[in-house]
Amino acid sequence: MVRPPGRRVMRVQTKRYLFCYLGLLPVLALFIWLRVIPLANTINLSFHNWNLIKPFKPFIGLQNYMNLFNDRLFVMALRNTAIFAFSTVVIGMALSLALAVALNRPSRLTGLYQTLYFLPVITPMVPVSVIWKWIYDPGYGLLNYILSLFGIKPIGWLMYPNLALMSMIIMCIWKNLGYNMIMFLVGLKNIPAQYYEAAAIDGANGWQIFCHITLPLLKPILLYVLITSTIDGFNIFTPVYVMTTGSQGAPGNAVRTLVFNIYEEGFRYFKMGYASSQAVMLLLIVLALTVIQLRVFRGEDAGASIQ
Amino acid sequence: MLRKHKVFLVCVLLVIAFASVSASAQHIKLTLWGGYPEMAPFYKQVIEDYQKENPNVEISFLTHPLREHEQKLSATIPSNTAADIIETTSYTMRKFIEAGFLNPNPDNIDAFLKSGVFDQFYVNDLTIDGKTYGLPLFQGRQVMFWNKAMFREAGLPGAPTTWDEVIEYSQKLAKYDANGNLVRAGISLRKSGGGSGVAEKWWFWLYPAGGTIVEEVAPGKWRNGYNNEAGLEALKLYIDLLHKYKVDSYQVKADAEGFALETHAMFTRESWVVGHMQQYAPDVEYDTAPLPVHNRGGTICNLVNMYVTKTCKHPDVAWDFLQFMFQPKYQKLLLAEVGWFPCLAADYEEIFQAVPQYRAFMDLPKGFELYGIPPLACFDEIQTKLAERLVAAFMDESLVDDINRMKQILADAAKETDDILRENGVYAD
Repeated sequence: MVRPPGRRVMRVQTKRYLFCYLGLLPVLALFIWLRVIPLANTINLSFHNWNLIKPFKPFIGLQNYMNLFNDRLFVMALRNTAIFAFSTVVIGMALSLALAVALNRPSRLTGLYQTLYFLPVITPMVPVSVIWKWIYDPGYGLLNYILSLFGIKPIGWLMYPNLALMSMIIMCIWKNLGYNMIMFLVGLKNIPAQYYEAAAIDGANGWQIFCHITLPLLKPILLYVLITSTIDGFNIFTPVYVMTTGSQGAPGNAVRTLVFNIYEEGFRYFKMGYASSQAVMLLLIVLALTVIQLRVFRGEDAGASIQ
Repeated sequence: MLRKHKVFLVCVLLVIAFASVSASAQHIKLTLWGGYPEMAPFYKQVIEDYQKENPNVEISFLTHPLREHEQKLSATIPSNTAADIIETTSYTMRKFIEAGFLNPNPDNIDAFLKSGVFDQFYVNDLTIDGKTYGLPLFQGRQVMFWNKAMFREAGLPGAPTTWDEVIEYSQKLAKYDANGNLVRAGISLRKSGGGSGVAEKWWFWLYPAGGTIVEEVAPGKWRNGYNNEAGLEALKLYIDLLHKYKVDSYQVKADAEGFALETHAMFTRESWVVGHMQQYAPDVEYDTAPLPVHNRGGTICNLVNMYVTKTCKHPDVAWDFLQFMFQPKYQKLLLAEVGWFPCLAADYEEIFQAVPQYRAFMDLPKGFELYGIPPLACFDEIQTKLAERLVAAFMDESLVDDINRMKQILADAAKETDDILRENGVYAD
């Protein structure tokens, strides 16, 4: 008896699927073990009142979440983080896109410039923060020295609340500029030259070409950079930790960010349950922003074309 | 014949295996973690000497900056993965002791601690519910460091002894450029930076004024000790020095670094600054003096102790090593080489002669009080949150002579302190 060919095809397909899933299993298991379980544990902890060094963890429901909005330090951290993330994303993306467009033109020094702008990206954040702490030093810092050449009085860059956050933003934009620039350059190199040639024949000027050809075709890269920069912006910790250390460090509250606040609650005051509720809030905020960004870009994509 | 050889070979292998097992059983490994990287040469020397006398013991040590060290302890002590020997402050270890993560001292160590070689203040600090924990290695006492050349130039006889002299001297010592910008501070105050440091340094002025950060009003019950006249005086002193007399500023290099660079004339710090000055500014002419008195006089005595953890597999060897470390010759080495002042009573005269700046740490004026960090697990949170409020207040120039707003700042901070105490079940209603 000859078996119907449909069943044979299905059996082969099932085997293929099985093979694929079995191949993925080790990675999937690791992902669940290292990502999903800790995440689930953090969410679970956020409903408990757990002091890190005490064995008991009483369940307190939503109490940690209710306390969050009466906590002036959490609100301050949320505000600072939002300002930080918004500024670094908007200014950082605009600058790196401008740099990428400038360096996309053929020139002998392009490679050198790309290397120079990329150097801060490969430098670890701790030494970068220490170097910038010195650059911002009120008495011996390079920045005040340069300003003094123009007769400007020394400024305590890290001392005053508004300046401290701004100084941190400048440093982080500088640090990430090269990475975003490389991403944009990759996108720019993939735009077919004939679009630009056609636009030039039609008499479009540089700005029109940028708005109607470059930007629409860069959308996938823009979306990627936007999402990763937003996540990075909300996760800022190392420069805050380094720059608030020491007798002439930045005032903690002026640059208090969410992750720094979570660290303090969890590892200085041992309030792990409360710190977990803040971590969950951070996750929800970043998740919501990512979903919004994806929807906006996809929505535009649906009706977008090169005009 | 072949069988005989096989038996012989097996016997030889068994003998080798047994010898190596017994040798490894005798070989003891211990680890030590510390939170003061400058202690490394001291530990290295003591460990080398101990290992010479005890070749079967191998001790390795690791030091981290204090904040990282405390963070490491928080993660490892509860999970039983900390080092065998830990160097840390009484207040850091207290919460772990209360949670049952440390065994009390064995009888011989308890007897050594109480044998009279340590001040009763230290013994009390290490006693919890009648049991002692750890041995006090060194202490952080505060003194006034003052630049002798600058004082001589200003025609001043010596370090200020009262608050009035602090205000007067710092005005005479401050220097300004042609535009009126401060270029040399008369006194360097701790005004900024994260963590609890700002509140801790303010405490050294609050205490002489008659206040403190938290006070025990009944056994185990506490409340803030600065929402009062003393707190107001201490806050006013900072505001006046910064904004009324303008003898310190945020633009002038502060703390030990600034003292070594001669950007200010005086500041308060612990004995490690003596070692720092020897290393980085051996030519700066300076001396030390007790902190200025106001309504009373006193200085903090913050102990850094050595503990053996519950998970240590050879606690007897660990304690033996610590007793070895507490010999007077090593305690003198600690003072001479590192600059931290040992807790062990010994004859340090030779070192005082060589480095007279150490004398002020031990020769306390009559009636001068020693006070310690209160035994509260939540004290770091209290100090850190108070510090953030003080940082903002110190920057506010409009507070000059505005007593009501200063009172309000203290009242708001005090409410936060009392709330933390209440949350931890130790507030005195």
